[in-house]
Order: sequence, then structure tokens, then C-alpha cells
Amino acid sequence: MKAPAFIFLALLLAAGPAHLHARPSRVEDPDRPRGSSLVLTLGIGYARYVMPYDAPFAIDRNGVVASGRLLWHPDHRLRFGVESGWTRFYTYELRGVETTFGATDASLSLSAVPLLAVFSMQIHDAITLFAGAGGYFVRSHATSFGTTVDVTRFSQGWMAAISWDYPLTEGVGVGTELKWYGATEFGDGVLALQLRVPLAVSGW
Amino acid sequence: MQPMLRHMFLLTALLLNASFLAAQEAAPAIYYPAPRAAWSTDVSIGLRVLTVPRAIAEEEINKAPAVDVQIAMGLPWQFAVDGRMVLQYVTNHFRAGLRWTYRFGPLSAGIGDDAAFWFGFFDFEGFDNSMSGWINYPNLSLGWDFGDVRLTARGEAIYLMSQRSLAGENEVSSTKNRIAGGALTLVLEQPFWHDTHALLGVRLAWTKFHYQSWFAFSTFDRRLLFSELLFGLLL
Amino acid sequence: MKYAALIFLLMFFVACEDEVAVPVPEIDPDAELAGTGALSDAALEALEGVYEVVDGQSLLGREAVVKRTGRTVSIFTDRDAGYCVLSSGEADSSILFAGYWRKQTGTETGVFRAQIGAERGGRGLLRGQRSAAGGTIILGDFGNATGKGTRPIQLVYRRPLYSGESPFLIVAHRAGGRNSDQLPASENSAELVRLAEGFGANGVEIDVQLSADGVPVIYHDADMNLRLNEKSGLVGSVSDYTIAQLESFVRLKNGERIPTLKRMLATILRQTTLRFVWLDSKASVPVAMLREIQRSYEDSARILGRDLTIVIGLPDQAKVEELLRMPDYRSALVLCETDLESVRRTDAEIWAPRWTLGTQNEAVAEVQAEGRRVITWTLDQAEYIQQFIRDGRFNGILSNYPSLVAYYYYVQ
Repeated sequence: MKAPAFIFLALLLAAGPAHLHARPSRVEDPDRPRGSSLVLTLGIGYARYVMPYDAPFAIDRNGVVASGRLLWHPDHRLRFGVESGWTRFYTYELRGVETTFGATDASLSLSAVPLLAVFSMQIHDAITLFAGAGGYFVRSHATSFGTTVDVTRFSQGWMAAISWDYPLTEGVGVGTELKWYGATEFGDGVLALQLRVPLAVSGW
Repeated sequence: MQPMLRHMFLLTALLLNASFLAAQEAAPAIYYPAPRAAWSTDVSIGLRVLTVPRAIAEEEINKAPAVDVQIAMGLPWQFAVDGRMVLQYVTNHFRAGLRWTYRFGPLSAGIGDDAAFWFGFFDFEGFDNSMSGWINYPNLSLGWDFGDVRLTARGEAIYLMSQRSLAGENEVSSTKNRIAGGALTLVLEQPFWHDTHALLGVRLAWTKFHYQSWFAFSTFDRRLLFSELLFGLLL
Repeated sequence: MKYAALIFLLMFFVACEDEVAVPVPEIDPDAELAGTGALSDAALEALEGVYEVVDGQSLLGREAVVKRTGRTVSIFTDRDAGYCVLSSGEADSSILFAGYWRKQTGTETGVFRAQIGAERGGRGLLRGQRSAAGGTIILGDFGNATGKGTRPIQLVYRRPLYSGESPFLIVAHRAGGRNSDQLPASENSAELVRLAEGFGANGVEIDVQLSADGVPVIYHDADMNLRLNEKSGLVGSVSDYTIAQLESFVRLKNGERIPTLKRMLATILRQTTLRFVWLDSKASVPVAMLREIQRSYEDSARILGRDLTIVIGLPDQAKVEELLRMPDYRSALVLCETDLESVRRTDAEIWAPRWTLGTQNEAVAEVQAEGRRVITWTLDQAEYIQQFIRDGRFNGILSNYPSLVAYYYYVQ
């Protein structure tokens, strides 16, 4: 990983044009809402497995992703909540795999249910960033020699996302979200594009 | 004016200018390296979660949450002291440092040096081990104030000064000074809820030795990536 | 607000592991030594010794151990846990060597070529005559993985290897070492166990688990993971899958199959001269099943005239109790990792305390007085290996660095 170079580039990009928006530290945004609320966001879309898979056969990297996220919006920019859902990582089928028991056809499907603690920050009226840590319940569905087995294990992992929303009514919107789900312990990850519906479920 | 006097005048002007900025500064911060008002103090309490590289941790503990208590206090002449305790029962790290800071508009910078003593012990079934050591962290910070959010990047070298380990009655100690690697910390400090501020960050260390993985008795003579997530509340 | 996006982007970069790759040295010892004759056992044993390093100290330090290691000759040093694994051959009364070197705590490796000229001790060694100090000189060079940047090697024989009253067990962890040291084959593979002697081992430890259909297989971790195998899509433990399913989907880190215990023991028996195998029994595998396999391979070793001891490791109290429930448990050779009471109850041949408890000389002497042996595990740090050999009373050491154990043992 060229992380040091990446970080320095990140710093340069961050520190460059952003100073145009710099303000004295004690100035508060007069338009910022003063109350707290709970917002549930539902999303569904396409997931593409983006992690390397070094094998002499092709895997199907395309899948579906669905998610639900409940966030507490306090009276400042930073928000906190939880996220779950379901995503397919990849599938593959093999013909005539040689083993000491003879040749067999084999197939595998790998999917995951995320369980993540999520921070988010609204950076523009319509644009929000998300980052989360937690993990994924990853499930293997494997068939060979005519026998199928399902096994699930937890992998530590992360998520990051950016969303754009358009308000429909006072408490309901519609938008899109570009999201990365990474079950890093298992080396699996998808880049997802979702249609999302944020719903304000409570406010005080 | 003699060059010496001119330099002193300029230096004094700079210091006064920065002190004035510091006096304006009120939002709490631990990492953001703006000059602080003399004796003003901020404290944070939080958690750090270290990911030990798989090469060292194998299937054992590879996530190790630790309690993180930090304090920063301003001194005259744009100096500041800070201290940090990272407590994890089996491993504990105490660090204190002195820093000189400067602010130019939203950009702040600091240069400092921290010394740390750490110790760890394992006396569970099958283990009778302890290790301790001294580490020096020369560091440089750069921060940007976006108004209600501050971003700070801190780079530091990890300089191992001495180390001592025990296995039962057997002892190995080393006083060989060496640079084990370096670390980069990126931290956001911002308001979270009412008047409570939060810090959220990541520390990436490329090092041959990380004190929190001492119990692995790593043998690798190569730098590995230790990543740490930081979360804290500024009191 | 690009800064925030970049911070968040960093969060998934930090999860990436920076794996290092150790290149494979570009040398084919068989081709290099084509046309030479094989060395006799007597010649191989005669060249063993502690040698002074005159040239090549950056690789081998000031003193190196030259040792016959099964079908190869190895050179061990305390510098960066380094070693050379060499094939040998004779031609015109000279002895030729070709192979590779590796510094195991780092990632450096490269090619190694050397010879002992006929008048520099070669002629005598080929007759099986050990030389006097200064009588054997090894000359050669070593380069990087592509064979470039060569530097000279000169080793001068000084003294014979240390030999204690009873053979010292140098036991290689996980059939030869762990994956994080980037060895040429995967840990706990049949391919690695063939290389273990070259690393200095005369015994191996292997980890036995049970597949879903009751076949003992060799795999260390509780769950399959990317440390041990290539990405396959199978999550969970080897015990969740049948051996046929494991063979269909899983390859170890260097492409090998997960070996069955029987295949591993057959490899050790027929393709190595290793004389000690420690079966580390994980929770899923019944001790009674290991006992049956142990008995079968003890018989095979006897028939083949092989000096091979196979012990069943009892890592915890549950395994101790499981053994004690067997009616004929006293007939099994076992290695007990727990307390001394369990060692005596199971009448264990070997007590294996963790190295982290120290040398424990009094307890070790007490157990040895009962006719048992003591092996400590898993000791990798050079300073402690040196100290445990110098100050301890152990009959053997289990290590990921058998070359270091060999060096510190034989230079005594």
C-alpha cells in the first residue's frame, strides 16, 4: 500500500481549496438546526465486488445490495448511528475440479449482512459523508460433489459512503448513495450505488 | 538596527501576534496546534482501537481497545505541554511532551518532542512475562481550522531508546537507540452535541515495533503497518 | 469539505495489510551440479563443523555452522536468523555447493555457490576424513535473488559441532515455520515439511483438526483465513467442510492443498530423515483417532527402519481427560503441555511448557529425573534462544527459527 503518499496527497487536497471556506472558529452557522432528530434511511441498489481475486477462474462480481441506517442527528454537524442490510459479494461456478476423490462441479456464493456503527457529516445542503466501523456476517453457500453447505462467520470491517438527497416533504427525501462495504478481515469488499429514501422518524 | 536586534524584534512581534490569536481561541482542542492561552487546559477521554498486523497477531487478539486520556495546557510564549495515558491493563503507555506552536490565519503548526515510558505484563496461566521501555517521539503538526471543524495532521518518528523484557527468571534488555519507524495521525476536532466536542481520527504507524504488540515478541526486522482508530470526547 | 471525504477514505485504506513478497532466488541447484556425483554419508558428515567466516560476514556473521541436513547441507548463522540451504556434488576430488540463502527476520534472499577444492580439504573429506582446524576451506560467493551483486565467501573449519549427551530436538513449528516469514511453501503443508531439515530441524510440529466427515487434516487456525489460504469464498473452520469440499475449494497460501494427517506422515516417513513429529491435537480431533494413526505409522517406521518418534500433543486439560478415558492410554506416546500433575497422570513421555515461563530449571530437572524429556515452545527470539540453550536444561526447543536454534546449539 502506498499509504504515506496517499495521505500526503490527501492532506494537500484537503488543505488546498478548502481554506476558501475557512471562518473564524467561534462563528456558528446561523442556519444550522438546533434540535435533535432520528433519521432512518433505506437503500437498494447495485453492488460490484472490487477486491482482487487471484484465481485461475472468473468470478461473477455483480450483486444486489439493500441497507437500512438509523442516525441520530444532534445539534451539530457530526451524526451517529447504526447500519445493517444485505449484500452479495460474488459467486462462481467451476466445472470438473480435480480432487483425490475424482472430478466434480462446484459452485459458491458469498454474501454478507453488515452491522456497523456509523458517523456521518453533512457537508452541503444535499451532500453527506458517512464512515462506519464494525463488521459483517459473511455467509458461504458452497456446493460440490452434489452436497451443499452453508456457513456464516463474522468479519471485522468498515464502510464509507457519500450521498446526495432531494427533499420531497418535511420529513421524507429521495437520493442516491455511493458506498463502500469492506469485510477487511476476509479481504472482501463491494462498491455499491444505491437509491435511498431518508425518513425523519422522530425529532425533539 | 543591528541584525540581532532586528531578529529579536521580529520574533517578539510574531510571538505577540500569535499570542493574540491564541487568546481568541476558545474551542477545545487536543491536537490542533494553535497557540493556546497560557495555562488554559483541555482534557479528552476516549478510546483507541489498534489493529495489530496479521503477521504478528495471527489469529490471536488483533483488535485491542485502550482507554485514552489526554491533556493539553498552554504556556507563555506559544509553548504548550501535553500528556497522554493509554491504558489497557496488560499494556500501559505514559507520554509527555513540549511543543511550540504558531498560527497564521486558519493554518496552525507545531513542533515538539514527546518522551514516553510504557510497560506491560502477562502473568496468566502459561505466561510470566513483562516488558517495559522508553520511546521518544519527535513530532511535527499541521492543522487547518475550517470554522467549527479542525483537521490536524501530526507526523512523528518512533525512536526506541531502551527496552527490557522478562520471561520467568530470564531477562533480555537492550539500550540500543534506533528509529523503529514513524507515524502519521489525522484528527478531526469538532462540536458533537451541545457544548461537547469530539475528536475522531486515525493513526497509521509504520514501525518495526509497536509497544501494544509487545506480548507477541515479534521477530520481524521489517516495518509493518499498525492502524489505530481514535475517538474521544473533549471535556 | 474535501478533508472529511479524505479522512473517511483513509478508513478503508488502513485496513489493508501490507504483505511482503520474498523473491525466489534464480538458481537451479540440480542443473548447476549436473554431472557431479553424490557425496557419501561419510563425506557429508565429515564436513560438518563450526567455521570461521573470513569473507562474507555481512551474510554469515563471524562464525557459522555447517551441517548436513537430510539431503542438503545447510549453513546457519545468528545474523538476522540467516541460513543457506545447499545441494552438493563431487567432481575431480572437489566438493561443489549450489543453493540459496535467506535472512529470515527480514526478506532478503539470494543465490549461493561455493566449493571445497581438492587441496583445500576436499580430497580428505571425500574419503570421510574430518580435517583439523584450518584444514577445510570453503570458497564461493553469494548474490541477490537474480544472482547479481555477488560478494565473496570464505569459511575456514575451526572445530566440530557441539554434541550433548542425548540428541537435542530442534522442532520446527507448523511443519517448518509460519507463513509470515514468507517461506518457499505454506505452513503446515506437505511441501514445507520436505524443507524443514534444510532449515535446521530434526523434528516438526503439525496441527491436526478434523474435517466434517471425520478425516484428520493439517491446519492451524480455528477458522480458515487469508493468513493461511488463498481467497476461496469458504468461511468457517475446516471442521465445517468435508475433505472433498476442502479439496474442491481451498488452496493454501502457496497453492498447496490442505494435507491430510496420513499424507503428511507418509511424506515425513518416506521423503525426510526427520526423527520427531509432534501432533498438536486441536479440539475437534479425538485423541483415540490420533492414537490409531500414531500406532499405524510407528509400525511403518519400524518396517522401514526409520528412527521416528510420533507424539500426541495434549494442549489443554480437556485433551488430558480425553486421553485418560482411553483404556490403553499408557501405551500412547504423549506430550503434555499442561501442569506437572497431568504429565504424571498421563505418564507423558514429554513435558512441553511455554517458553514464556522461563527456563524453570528446577522443575525441568525434576521431570527429567522421572525419565521424561522437556521441550519448550514456541521460542523465536534470538536472545532468548541463546539464553535458554546456554542456561536451560531442555531436551529440545520448538521454534519458527530452527536455524537459530541449530546455530546456538551447535556452536556451544
